[in-house]
Amino acid sequence: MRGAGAATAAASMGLAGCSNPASQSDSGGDGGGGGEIPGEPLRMACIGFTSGAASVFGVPMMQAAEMTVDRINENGGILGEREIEMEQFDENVDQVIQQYRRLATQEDFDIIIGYISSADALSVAPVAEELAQPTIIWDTGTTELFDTAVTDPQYVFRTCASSSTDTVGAARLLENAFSDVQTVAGANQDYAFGRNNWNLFTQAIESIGIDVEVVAARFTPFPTEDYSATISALSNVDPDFIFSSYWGGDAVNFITQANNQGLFEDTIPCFSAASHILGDVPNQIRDGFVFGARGPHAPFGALEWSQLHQQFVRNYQNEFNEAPYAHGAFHAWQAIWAYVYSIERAYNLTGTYPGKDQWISSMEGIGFDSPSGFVDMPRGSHNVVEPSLYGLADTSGDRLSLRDTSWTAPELVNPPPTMTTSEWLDSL
Amino acid sequence: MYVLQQFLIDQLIIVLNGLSRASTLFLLGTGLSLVYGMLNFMNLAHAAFLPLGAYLSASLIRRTTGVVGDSLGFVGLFVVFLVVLLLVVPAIASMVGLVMEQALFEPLYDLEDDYHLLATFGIILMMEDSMKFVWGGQPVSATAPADLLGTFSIPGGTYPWWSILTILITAAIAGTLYYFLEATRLGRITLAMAEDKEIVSVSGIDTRSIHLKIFVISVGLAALGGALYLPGASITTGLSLEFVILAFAVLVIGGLGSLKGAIVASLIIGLVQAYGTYYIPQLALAAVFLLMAAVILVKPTGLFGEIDA
Repeated sequence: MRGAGAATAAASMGLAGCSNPASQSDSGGDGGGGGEIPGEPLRMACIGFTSGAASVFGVPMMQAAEMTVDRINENGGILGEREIEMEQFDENVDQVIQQYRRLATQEDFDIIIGYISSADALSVAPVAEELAQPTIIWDTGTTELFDTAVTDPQYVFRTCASSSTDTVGAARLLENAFSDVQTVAGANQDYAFGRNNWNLFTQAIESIGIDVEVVAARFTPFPTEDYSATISALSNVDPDFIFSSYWGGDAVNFITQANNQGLFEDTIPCFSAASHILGDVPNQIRDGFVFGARGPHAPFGALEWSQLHQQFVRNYQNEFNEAPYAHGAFHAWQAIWAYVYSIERAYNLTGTYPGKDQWISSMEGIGFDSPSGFVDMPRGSHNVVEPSLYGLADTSGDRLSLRDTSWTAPELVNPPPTMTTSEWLDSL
Repeated sequence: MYVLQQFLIDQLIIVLNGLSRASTLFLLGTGLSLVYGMLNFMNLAHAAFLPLGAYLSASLIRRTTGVVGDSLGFVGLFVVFLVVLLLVVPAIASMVGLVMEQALFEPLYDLEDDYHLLATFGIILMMEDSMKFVWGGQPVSATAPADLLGTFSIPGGTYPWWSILTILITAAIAGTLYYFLEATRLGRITLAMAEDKEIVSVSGIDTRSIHLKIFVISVGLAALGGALYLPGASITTGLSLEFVILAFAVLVIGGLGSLKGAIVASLIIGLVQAYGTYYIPQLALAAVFLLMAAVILVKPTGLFGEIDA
């Protein structure tokens, strides 16, 4: 019953028939692979920050990755026969490219999944193409990845939404849900992620033609622990709405100090990437604060009707004694299952275990249900698109959740595969 | 008239922000300066006692709130918090510092300066990882003391009383330290050791004992800085590395081993950062180091120091 591993696992998780049939006749070249299911375990490297500030994402990601791989192996592994042997690596190293080259060439991993930092993903992606190493970027948001760094990707895929989803989604939120907002300000970290987010957000406002005035754009060093002067400057311009891509300790400090200085008394704060702090500092989150989750990755308040979502959140809580508020936990699930589905899909279509080229063909156009809803890799793209989700913090229950969630369809917050994000925004 | 009023309010808030920042830097930088003055020992790991104090405060505030939070009234609970933050946390951190001094720092004293920097920087990393092991990598906060005090209204917003209290407590500590160094025997010996340790030693004074006392006080002050910092913010890994640079700037600008220098340098850096962040945020951090470079060029010993930086 080869291939039934996939079918069994998929059916048991409500996934049967979710792959995109459009590409099923297209299995590509041999790429040096093909044939029987290999007897030896599949070697998977997972790279994320397990130390440093970004470990707020990396640790939950590694936890979710471990949990996901364990579940797959409990069912026999890929295709029910091939176990996954996962090794974790800290992204917090000085020589990211050297680390990547070592994993790809000397340690010979079948698949490298990783990267949270935009800079790291941008550095590694061209090397992955050069080495023809199957690689999945699992968390990085920068739109530069496929807009400028690797414009014709073969071996690199991204299985999470880009920052386009978060920023254009926030602009659409202004258009549709907060149409009375007249003035907008930004508070973002002064590095690639913060700058990229703010630029995309303001470009989206202008291109969509939303009638608001941008009254301030504040960038703070990453990390910053004292926001008092930044908050004073924002208070002085008294915006109706603040867009912020702060995350981690920066988000906590900004919110804590802004609460103390009364910034949010008549200003709506919108955090595009900080939903992970809902579990860390619930007493600082006021009812009605707007949160995004780098895609639809909220454990409570969205998608709770989904059995797969419930199962993931419950398993994660049981195993780690905390809720998966960090969007990275969902990203890890998506990355690992995207790879497993693509292998199983190729095998089920051709009857042979895929080599690199067949794997690429199988990944292109893949679609599957996930704990965060349907994940879609449009044909012609190596980047998953997801809907944008924003919601208001709901502090009425025992645990924080999102209410009055606003969803925006993927095609309204992401460029088509033939355009860069900037080109698409200009064309709106 | 309205514009002038708004301008003055802005200035008041910026100055308060600067003083609040200066308070943390003073509590951290003074100890570093005193220890350097006495032993010619540049202990970069000193900066790690600030987050240690903050983490300890978070645990104790949460525990206190859980145990006696419901039974004590506003005043009672606030007094308990003050005792925890001002006494218990510095005491625990000082004990940790004392053990580390004997086990890790003391063997380094006779080595060259380069080794001091390398070894104590390594110890910072060890302490950072140890704190992450105990308290995790997620941001930790405990705002109950600041929440109890609340905020006061200013036109266009509010301002936290906790920041005002932090400034006042730090000012009182600065005054007490000044008195201690100028008017007490231990203080005068401390200053004398900074001048010439060997002369003090041959006069029959147990310099090792004096040094240990100053070391413990220094660690306690750094931990107090963290304890007062926490209720208005949160703490996460990496804070030591951020603060060590600023503490070093306090030393260089104020002058190595000078209390007066630490006070003035903390105020200057706090205000430069507050004004810089408000008016030219991109250059706020650079401004501090430009200032540091200017001081080194004009007066290499720092504003109040006599030891070469």
